[in-house]
Amino acid sequence: MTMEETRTSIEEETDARVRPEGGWKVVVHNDPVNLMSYVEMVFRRVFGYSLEKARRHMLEVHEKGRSILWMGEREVAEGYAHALQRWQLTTTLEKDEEG
Amino acid sequence: MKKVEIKLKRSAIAPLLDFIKPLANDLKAGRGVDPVLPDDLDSELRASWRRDLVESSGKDADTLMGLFDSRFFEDGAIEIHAENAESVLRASAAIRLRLRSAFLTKFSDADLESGMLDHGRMTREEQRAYGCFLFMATIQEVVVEHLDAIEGRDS
Repeated sequence: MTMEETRTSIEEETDARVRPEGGWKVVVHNDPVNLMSYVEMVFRRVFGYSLEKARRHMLEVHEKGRSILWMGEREVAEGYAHALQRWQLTTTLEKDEEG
Repeated sequence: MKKVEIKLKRSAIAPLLDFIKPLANDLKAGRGVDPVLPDDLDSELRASWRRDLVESSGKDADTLMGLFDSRFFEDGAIEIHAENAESVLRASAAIRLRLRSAFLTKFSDADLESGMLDHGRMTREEQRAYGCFLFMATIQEVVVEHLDAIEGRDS
């Protein structure tokens, strides 16, 4: 899969999630410290993502500086953000202005 | 219980542990635990959120440092198993972040990510910090690689 296809795929998934739910985005930001294999493993653990999906998000973080890992209700988003911060990933919650 | 045993050279690792231990204590004290939280989070939830992270980091740091017990000083071996693997991974990440922010700030992100730092440009303290940085990364790589087996899943 090329990087362009990867981006399109992630955007499509994101759109499919945000339209019915709206709400809040869980965003992971790049850092120069955490290993790619570690970040990928964390995404699998926290979200139950497949290896392929976790890798796509990890690469998006690495290449674009950030990736939206999840969108939906505030309370659930807070739980995910807290879990990712426990794993030492730089994570923010952002209001979805289009939702 | 399945486990991974890692054999380390005590003479090389012991000095790194002296460097890492104060950083682990920092984590237990909540230093360096600075999450970005939503602006509209009320003060009680904000405090609770941070307190949970500090407690988690402290327990993880204890677990990591607990690897280097009498067994390690006898034969250089540390054991990773299902009960300590996650904490070891998280604590290693936290220590690496502390090393970066406290000792390796003069190096660019790109240099740090490439792992191609010029030792000639480093002070003695930076060399030790970078040694710890690489050591913690190696521990993480080994644990991530064997995590499925450690936790009894088919990879």
